[in-house]
Amino acid sequence: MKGLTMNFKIILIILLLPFGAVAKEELKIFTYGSFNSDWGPGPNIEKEFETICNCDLIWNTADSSGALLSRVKLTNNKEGYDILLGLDDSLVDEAKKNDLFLKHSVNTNGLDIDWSDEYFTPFDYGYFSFIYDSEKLNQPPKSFNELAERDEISIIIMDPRYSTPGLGLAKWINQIYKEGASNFWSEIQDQIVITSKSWSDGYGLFLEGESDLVLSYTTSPAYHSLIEGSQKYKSLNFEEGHASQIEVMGILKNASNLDLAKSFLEFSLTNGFQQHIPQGNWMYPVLNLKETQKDFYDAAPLPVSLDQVFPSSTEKDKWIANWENSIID
Amino acid sequence: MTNLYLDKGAYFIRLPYLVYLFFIITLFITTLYFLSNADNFSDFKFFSYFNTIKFTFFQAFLACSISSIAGFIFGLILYLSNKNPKVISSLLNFCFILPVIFVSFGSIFFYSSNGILSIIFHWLSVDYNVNVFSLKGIIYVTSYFNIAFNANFFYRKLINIPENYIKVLQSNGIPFLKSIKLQLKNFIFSGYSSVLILSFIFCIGNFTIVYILSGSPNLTTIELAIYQSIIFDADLMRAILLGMTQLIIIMVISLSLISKTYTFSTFASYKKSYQIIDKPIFIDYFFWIIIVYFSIPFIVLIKGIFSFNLQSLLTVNFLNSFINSLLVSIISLTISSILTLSSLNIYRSFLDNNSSFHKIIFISIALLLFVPSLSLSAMIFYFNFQLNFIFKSIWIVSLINSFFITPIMFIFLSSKFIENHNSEHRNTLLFNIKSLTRLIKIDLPKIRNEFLLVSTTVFVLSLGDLTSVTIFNNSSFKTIPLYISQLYSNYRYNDAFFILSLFIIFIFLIMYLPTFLLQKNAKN
Amino acid sequence: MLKINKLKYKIEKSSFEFDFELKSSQLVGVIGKSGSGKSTLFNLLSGFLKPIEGSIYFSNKNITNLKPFDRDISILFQDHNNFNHLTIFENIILGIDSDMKRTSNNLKLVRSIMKKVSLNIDLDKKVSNLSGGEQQRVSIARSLLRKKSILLLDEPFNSLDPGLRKILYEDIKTMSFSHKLITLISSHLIEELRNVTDKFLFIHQGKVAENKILSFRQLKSLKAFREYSQ
Repeated sequence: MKGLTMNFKIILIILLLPFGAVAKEELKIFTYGSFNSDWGPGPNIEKEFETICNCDLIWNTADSSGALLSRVKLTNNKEGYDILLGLDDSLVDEAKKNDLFLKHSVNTNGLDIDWSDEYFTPFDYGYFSFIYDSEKLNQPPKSFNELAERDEISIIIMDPRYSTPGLGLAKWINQIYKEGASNFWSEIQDQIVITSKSWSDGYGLFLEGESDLVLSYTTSPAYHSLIEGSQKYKSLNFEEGHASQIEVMGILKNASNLDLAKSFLEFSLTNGFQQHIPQGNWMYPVLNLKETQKDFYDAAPLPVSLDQVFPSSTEKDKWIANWENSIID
Repeated sequence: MTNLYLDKGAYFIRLPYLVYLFFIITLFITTLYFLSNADNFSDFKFFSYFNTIKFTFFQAFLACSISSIAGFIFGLILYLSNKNPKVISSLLNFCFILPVIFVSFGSIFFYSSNGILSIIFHWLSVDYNVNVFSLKGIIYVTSYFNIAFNANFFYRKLINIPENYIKVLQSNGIPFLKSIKLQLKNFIFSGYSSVLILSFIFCIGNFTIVYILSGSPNLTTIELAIYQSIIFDADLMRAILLGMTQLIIIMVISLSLISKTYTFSTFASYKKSYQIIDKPIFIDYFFWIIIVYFSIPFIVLIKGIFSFNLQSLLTVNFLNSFINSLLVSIISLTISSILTLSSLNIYRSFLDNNSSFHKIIFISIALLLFVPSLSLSAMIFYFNFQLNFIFKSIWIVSLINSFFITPIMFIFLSSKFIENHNSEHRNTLLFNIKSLTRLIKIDLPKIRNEFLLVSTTVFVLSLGDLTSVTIFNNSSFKTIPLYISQLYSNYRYNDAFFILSLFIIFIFLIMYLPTFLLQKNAKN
Repeated sequence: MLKINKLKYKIEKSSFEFDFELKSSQLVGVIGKSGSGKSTLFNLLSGFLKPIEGSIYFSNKNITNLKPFDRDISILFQDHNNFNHLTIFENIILGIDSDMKRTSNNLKLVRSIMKKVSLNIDLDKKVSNLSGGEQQRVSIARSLLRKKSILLLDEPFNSLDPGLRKILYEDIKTMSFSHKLITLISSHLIEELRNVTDKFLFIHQGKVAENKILSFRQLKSLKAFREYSQ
């Protein structure tokens, strides 16, 4: 019995511990898990920002970027986050529709990409591509058409409903094939061996040898080359061009610390934040860092870019519908 | 005999059950209120989920049938192998309560394109092309647990066949298969309906398995659709409606069977078994095949131990998950124990008074088995939203876990708890024994061993659970299974396998240390 | 003639060694403390246990390694001799026809054997509906139907009341002699056995005392027996 009461005391202390923390001004950022993982850019960014703000940056995470918007919609942000970090350009319209965000006053001129939006600021961007193992796949396809013709090539993609790269692929295919997108989906359907729920799931399975190609970013080979010293993973270079993705952040309504949130948005467009993006989030920074991050740009050269599109949520739904039709058949 | 006088203790003991009943009813009313006020009610296109519903029941039916047949064959072979029943039974038990992520990752490790099997086949120059991220994978892992569950049932049934029956049959020269057939109805299959229902529910509720192994949007079960509705589509209404659909279908299927059973005989203990002489040699081969089959996921332990990395244990995330996991399990076990004892008490007092209301108590608890824990999550999520998030995630997850383990505890303990209840009841009236005294001095010592056994089992089940925590996790609240699955999905395979291995060893200790100590005590 | 030749068996800490002979057609009581080895002896004889060494001869044929069914032996226990979910007919005919077919020949056989054991009940009744004595008669009927030369009864009537036991013992005695059987009945109630026989095997510490059949008078001269019967 004595042991039992002792255990309960310990439990009680552990349960009460969070309430005992000394109060400092807090900035609560809601983002996807890998951004603030031990290997992501989050911890470094936190350190940098805390030295200048005299505040406590608290990360809250959802499993994947697809889950972020849904969560704040579901709760009306009653959980009181200040910033949502990690939406991408395809979700911007839907996010605005739900009236969950506040306008910002941050100057976004002079960035590496064209951007003007009164609610969101960009923090990184990338180009979708397929990654292959050059030691296994000798003649990589050079276009979507060739990819669809070569039935022997297996592919891992992500579910467009739940994953931003998955949605990105739907956008990409739509940009290229327009009305024929549904057809194209049907053509490559048999080559898709796995449709994963998140990018990291799918990418891991590709590395484990479950497929020849995986949907990812042109920047992915840079990780293998700079961190692992391996040159064997390369990204496909499609002559049709590559669709882009811009990741953004915005200040949420109900934000409890508006000033701090604004200063974080401004901070996000400075070197202090941006320098951690290339080799932390493995995307291109929105500031031009080609001088200081030469290694990164060498390992991940910019591809031929398609036009930037900002879809409405109905367009977005159409992309998904095209994909859905092909899987039901 | 009516129980006119209730002492204060009796009210005290009954309170937790009443609180539970109140909570459940409130929850359902809130949900109904929510559904009736939803303006976009017509948006729910039931038909668009037809495929999901079809697939859910198809895969459950398939896995359940495979498990029943294989479970029967396995049980028979284990029985014929003449090995120590205690060892066999606890082996099967252990396989049944293994964390789902362990068996899933273990199977991926063994069967995937770069897995052990593929390496072996490659070495033998045989073409190997099996996609584990498919229906096959889902069925395989779902069956793993249910085969263990079914085999354990049949095995226990077989070793409980009276020794003399077998001797009579043998001396009458009845061929082996015929003698099994003769035993079927009377012994082996009696009480099987409840096992079948439980097995079917486990097969339908294989969320974690589908979550990990579903490699295609076509392989979506209702529970996965519920998860996606909450996490990605912010659609609680759809989640709840899907959950209700599943609940109703399972109820319809199992009510006809379960209406006859108010106790489950699944967990009957075993007596002395009959030693089969002249067992065919091939039985030994089959025995080892079964052992190998159940050992396959454990191969991942080798990889895990070789990936030893002390640093991965010193991260805040790991320690946080570990402490949270323990807390969740302790809280759920506590809630479940209190609720179980309370409802068992009411259950028994109805029996004491020859009232058939005890069936209602049984149903009100067993009902929890049918409610998908994810749709319960959706309901509680909305409830909590209405209350401005006063419940922290840890409490919600603990509560949902305890709702899942309470019926297991209840079913497991009920037969022992009500043993001799009539004479006990008479004595409590004769000697004026108060309810609390009866609980502490008579009931608890009586069920002590069973209680310890079921507690460790449900503790482990709760520890390995990965359902509601996928919805209620946040940066400061994770459990070990979630942490492992996040490591895994971030391609931190070494760390994932290492922590998974430690987790399994930890579970093994929790599972067998108390029993071991108990036996040691008993010997002294 | 049944000849048991230095039949050895060991389980945990107890060891057994049986060595005796029985002439054909006699009724023998097997007595001894519980755990002395009565059931072990019966199980060895009927083939449910394998001896470590030694042999069993019946009519000059070595049956030590035969399967239970192939031995010329029938065995009956205190309980669980019948299948409660089967009918009387099925339980009896099981002894010679495992398909339990309702042929006219089978029916005739069962009827005649039922008469012999004084069972005057509808043969389609489920065994679970019978009284204890009737159930044992069904088992005995099955044993008789199989026409085996040796009948082993392992404490067969313990769960029945004394009056019924007496009648059944008498029946067994009559049948045993009319069918010229070697019948071994184990029991711990010597007085009841004395009513039907004066031939005893007294089992003590895993052995048959004196390795032979003894009369009650001879038994009384044994010190071990006197301790046992007190």
